[in-house]
Amino acid sequence: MSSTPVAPPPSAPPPAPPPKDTFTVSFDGKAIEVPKNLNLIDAAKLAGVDIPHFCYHPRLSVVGQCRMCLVEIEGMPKIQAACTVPLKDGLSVKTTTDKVKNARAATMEFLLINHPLDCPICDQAGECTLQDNSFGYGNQLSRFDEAKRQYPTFDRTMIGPHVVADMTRCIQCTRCIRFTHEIAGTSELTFLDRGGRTLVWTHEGQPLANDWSGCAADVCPVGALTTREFRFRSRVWYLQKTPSVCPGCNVGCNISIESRDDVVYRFLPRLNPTVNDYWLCDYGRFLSEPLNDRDVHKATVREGSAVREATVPAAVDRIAREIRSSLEGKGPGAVFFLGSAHLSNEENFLLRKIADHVGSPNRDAIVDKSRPRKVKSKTVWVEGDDAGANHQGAKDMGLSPGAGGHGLDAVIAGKASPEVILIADAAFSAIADDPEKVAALRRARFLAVAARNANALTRAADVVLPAASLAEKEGTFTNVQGRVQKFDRAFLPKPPIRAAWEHLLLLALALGFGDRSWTPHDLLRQIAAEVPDYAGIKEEELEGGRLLKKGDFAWAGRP
Amino acid sequence: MSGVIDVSARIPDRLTFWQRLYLPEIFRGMAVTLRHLVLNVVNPRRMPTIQYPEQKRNYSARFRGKHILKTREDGTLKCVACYMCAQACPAECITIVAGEHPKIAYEKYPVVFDIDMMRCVFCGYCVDACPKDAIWMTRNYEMAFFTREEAVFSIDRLRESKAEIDAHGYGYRPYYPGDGTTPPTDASRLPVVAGSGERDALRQAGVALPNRHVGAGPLNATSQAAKFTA
Ligand code: SF4
Ligand code: SF4
Ligand code: SF4
Ligand code: FES
Repeated sequence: MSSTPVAPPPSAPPPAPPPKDTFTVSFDGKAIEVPKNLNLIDAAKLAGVDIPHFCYHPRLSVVGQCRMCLVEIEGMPKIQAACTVPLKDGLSVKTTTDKVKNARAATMEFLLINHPLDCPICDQAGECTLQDNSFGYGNQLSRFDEAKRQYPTFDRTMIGPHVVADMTRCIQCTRCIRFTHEIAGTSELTFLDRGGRTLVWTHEGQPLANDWSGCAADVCPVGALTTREFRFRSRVWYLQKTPSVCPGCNVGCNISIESRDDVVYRFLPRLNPTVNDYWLCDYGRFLSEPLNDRDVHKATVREGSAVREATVPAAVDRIAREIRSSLEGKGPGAVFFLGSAHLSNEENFLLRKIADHVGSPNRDAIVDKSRPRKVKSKTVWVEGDDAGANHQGAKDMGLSPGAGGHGLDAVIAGKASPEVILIADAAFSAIADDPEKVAALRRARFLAVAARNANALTRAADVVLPAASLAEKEGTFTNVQGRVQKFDRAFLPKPPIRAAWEHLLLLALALGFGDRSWTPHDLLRQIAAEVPDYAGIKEEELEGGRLLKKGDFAWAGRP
Repeated sequence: MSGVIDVSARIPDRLTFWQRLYLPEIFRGMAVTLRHLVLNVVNPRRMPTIQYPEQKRNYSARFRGKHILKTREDGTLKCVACYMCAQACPAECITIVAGEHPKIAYEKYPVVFDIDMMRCVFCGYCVDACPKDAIWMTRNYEMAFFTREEAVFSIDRLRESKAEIDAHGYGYRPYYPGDGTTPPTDASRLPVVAGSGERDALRQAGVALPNRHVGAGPLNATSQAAKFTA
């Protein structure tokens, strides 16, 4: 700003160039434009330069604790910890000089002085930052031949319901401590003792028992914090990662299903800054175990008082026959269709199409309420309290009573008495294990369900179809924000088990509509064409989810 | 190419009349057999065959035969179920299931350790891969089975036994100087620094400190978890 008085020009001045919101920074001579608010380590990543680090985490405060990220910066005489250097225009960073290489190797040597090198026993091996950095930047040999520090009373202890701590492996990066302070806000963890004897532990007598304690094990770059549930179950390099969405509640955290040989071993959070960021709640994380449970392996059909095994097509034909005969006898009002908050949009959509096809207005999808669950996205907390991941989607697909139709309440209260009830997911609610409510449903002449696990409902049903688990099918869920998110199939179900959409497609074909070649991808295209709120939705845009343009979501905060 | 014998060149395109008569050639072949028979009876030492199983060949001291799982002094397996051998195995014949060892110092052990001897190609890569010196080979090559199931050796048949070593001897194993069986440094004998600062010194002196362990002692996942859900 010049203070020289200048007569204002008669016309408006040319608009000043908008202030640049990027910096030009160069890494090893390669200049790039980076957003101003980035950390130097992330900026380097954009430039394709790897700066090894332990303590820096994109969502936790910067502490400069580990000294692994040392780099040379032009104009600064000493090497600097990259994570603590604020970006500025014209910064020139060097990561390949001898000075940097020696500094990194020295840091690694110091870290390994007291590290047990337990890799054969340690569960972190294979995804351990210490292993990676030692391999990439360390010296091969150690010059240290004294006895290593040990923590005899602080090894392999459960410090909470899920987390097992082993302090001999800790590198004092404080990521776990910062996680409990800054993200969980529960501050269970702290440093005890000082100097060479520093260790991370919980405050006297307190367990590490917040709702996200598994994330402390995630952020730990080494094997000092591991989870009880996954410990020793599989070596991590055997696990195949499949992008999916947590089935636990309507927050819809993005997860990676880690499986091997058709067994799910664990869920890990999958980065999505708009939903769950780097985090995952313990409830959802440990749903990976029950995902392997199954006791319905074959289709069964009740004939008289006997229950017989049947092929899936035969069982579906039976359902179609019963539907047709009650349509002829009593008209479309005699058939009731129940979707589920555990089924994908595609499956609920197909169920609704079947209801439309037979002309029945009797359709519903209900959800149990759970205790509120929340997870922190990059900016706000996302909260949900449905016990199923996709109630929003089921409603959007049109699974609520149509004009003159009735819902599940009316059926259970006895105000409506459909002849045929088709339940697309036997685990739709706790109602399915409540003998009285099941007896109310059983009043129908014919009751058909698709199920993975047996419950009171499957024991009462006339036809039970074996349904695939979340890991065995693909589709989309709509979360509490109104974000449509895609999940992939980790492995194929073991025949004759099929995904609910396959059962429903068989049924549609038996009732005279649909196309044998339909897949969830085709169904999603139909949803995009037919469901108003989902108009134009494309599978390719569902990476990270797509927010529907709707105003009626209970969830207020929107990033 | 020099050194390569082209066998096809030695087969004539057409058989001669004499060969096509067939019987003379048969008798010529029998004459060869008879010559060897007579020579072997007259001079048995020229025979290349031996009378197995009464006689056995003496194979190399590093022969790759049946595996053994080495044990610690207290009889537990040295193996920590790290899967390195299973990873290195080109025949994918090693199946391991890891478990939590009650003793903290051991931490992890193989609940199941199976080697399918019928799939094993006896390459010795597992021995090379093992970071714990836990799997060696013996010179025992006598493994014959009536069923496939019998060929899968579990821990009870793999655990090192004195009788087996006396009978067959060690085979392929890490190469150590000296007698070849003692590692130069045994990690379990490294000095251990006891205590972790003042608190542990006090604890070891028997001073009662407030217990900040959420679950002291051996980890028993189920019972410890029950503590938190109760
Ligand atoms: S923390 Fe990493 S380096 Fe340390 S023992 Fe475990 S895998 Fe090995
Ligand atoms: S326990 Fe893990 S995350 Fe916590 S300070 Fe130690 S190494 Fe870092
Ligand atoms: S490599 Fe050695 S310690 Fe690891 S599983 Fe195999 S035998 Fe056990
Ligand atoms: S990442 Fe910079 S000091 Fe740890």
